[in-house]
Amino acid sequence: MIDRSLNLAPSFSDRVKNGFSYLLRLRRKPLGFIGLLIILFWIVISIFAPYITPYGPTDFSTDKFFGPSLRHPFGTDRWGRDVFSRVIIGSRTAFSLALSATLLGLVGGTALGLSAAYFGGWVEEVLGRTMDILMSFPALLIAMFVLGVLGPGTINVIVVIGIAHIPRIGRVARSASLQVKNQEFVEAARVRGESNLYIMVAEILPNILDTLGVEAAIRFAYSIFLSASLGFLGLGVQPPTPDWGLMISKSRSYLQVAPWLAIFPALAIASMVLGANFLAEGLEEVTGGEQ
Amino acid sequence: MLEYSGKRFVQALISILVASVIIFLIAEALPGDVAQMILGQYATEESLATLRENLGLNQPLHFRYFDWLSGVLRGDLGTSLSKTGVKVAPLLLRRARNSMILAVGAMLFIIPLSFLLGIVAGMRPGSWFDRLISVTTLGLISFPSFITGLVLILIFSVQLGWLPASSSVDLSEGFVNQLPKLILPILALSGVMLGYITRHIRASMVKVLRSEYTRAATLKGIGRRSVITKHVLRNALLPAVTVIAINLGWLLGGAVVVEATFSYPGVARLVLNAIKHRDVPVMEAGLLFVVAAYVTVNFGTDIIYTLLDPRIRYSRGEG
Repeated sequence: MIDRSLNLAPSFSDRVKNGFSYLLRLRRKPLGFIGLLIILFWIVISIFAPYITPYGPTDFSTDKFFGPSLRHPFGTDRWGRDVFSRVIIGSRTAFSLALSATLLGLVGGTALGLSAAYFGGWVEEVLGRTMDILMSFPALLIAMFVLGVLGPGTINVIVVIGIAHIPRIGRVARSASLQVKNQEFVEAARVRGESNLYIMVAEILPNILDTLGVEAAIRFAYSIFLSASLGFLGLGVQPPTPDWGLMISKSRSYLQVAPWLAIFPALAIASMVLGANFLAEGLEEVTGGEQ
Repeated sequence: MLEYSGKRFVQALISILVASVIIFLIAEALPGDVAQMILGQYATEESLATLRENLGLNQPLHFRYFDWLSGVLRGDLGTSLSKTGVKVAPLLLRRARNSMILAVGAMLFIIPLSFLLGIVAGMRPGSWFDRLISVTTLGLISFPSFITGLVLILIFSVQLGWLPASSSVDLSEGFVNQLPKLILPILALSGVMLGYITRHIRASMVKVLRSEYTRAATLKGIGRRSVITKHVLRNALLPAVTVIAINLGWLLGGAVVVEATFSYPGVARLVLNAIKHRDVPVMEAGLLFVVAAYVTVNFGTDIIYTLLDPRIRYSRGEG
């Protein structure tokens, strides 16, 4: 039995307090605060989406190409579907894709980056080189190629974007872990005879969470960006699921007659990515990262 | 220096070779039978077998890989499956030239502008101009290029009618004639990269201005102007070389979206359509080209960087 009375690491409640204080301090960072509000707005919208939308996202009607009006705030498309309802429900597609992909990237990247930093030596060498090679190809190109082989679809998009995140998150996790690795409480845990896994998960990981939080916001923004681009190219979520990128891609033939088909999904994508990037910028400032 | 360049060159060659294996293996793993695709679904079993034999599809995988690779080295990339009888090599070359024009155009626009904005913003961190640049560049990196492209089309083609929305360029009609068709795609392609590079240069300026040696130079009593031109700029702009190279990946990746938005006949859209139509020879050749271009740019950047900053030569291997 290991005696944990010699635990020098910050306690769990300290860390929760820390996390809250970061969010509170965001109030004084205009950009970060606006970002937080935008993301909260979209979270509320996507949770209550079915109660907000006046029509079903895939309901056809005879009101084709109606401009924005009281009945259809964002107009209708060539099948008479309500664009407002599609944009609102589309936020669920965007959120679930981006959150899952970010999570996948975080888990994979942190596991690899942390082990590379902790074990050093050949483990670090092999992992580092592999990530370098993976990172040396444009993410969108890899995504395009892999989706071409696997075929489009929600799960495949999540996997592809998540994997594209791994090397970048891995690099951040590695450099953050390197700074924590040699601190006293890690040394103390080693002296106590804790296992490697315990030290990595219970001692190092909690202390790189603020860095990972900033990175998660950046990767979330990029996930929305990538999944919208893949949707636009026709390699992402397949119709009739309302997907913002896909909606814009279908709107291209009607830009002259029905510009609202492109404008509203574009605003949705832009605001969500911008919100996440603002939030990341604010978080970086309050956690004391680079200015 | 020569030794480092040599080592880096071998590394680049290996990267391309590894990529070629991966591209070939994945392309071969694609569902669907090539012979069936050429002859259509009503082909007899006999004619399918004959075609497979002629195409060498019955041979083992490694044999076919080397066959393909030796073709690539001889400049023979085979014939397209979806566009019957079209040779891949000239097609790829034409598309590559179009893509290059787009990329070079974007670079010519991005580099001077991002340096100017980044340096001015970085000289006075916290000023209103700096804040403006900070928000604008965050905006630029947040908008996928198809959104920027659509906004540009809506303004300049639909509303004002100044520039064409579709860019089916044909350079045989003369470069100057085609110029209006290039403006919008170049602007759309530039957005994200302009944002990233400006932010990097700005951050790098701020960091160098706060450094010990800038303080020392200032304390020596050299004028601010001279401190900035002689000490700060050189040190701040060096990392920009790498940032630009990394962002070239954006130009290649982002180009897919821009080319699709404007129906621009570049390599990326060629690859995208080849993937959609399971046109294996075009896909393999196009991807290999993009990877080779990417690796070459990275190689070139590393060499330039080494020439500019001699400290790198000996410490690079550890990173």
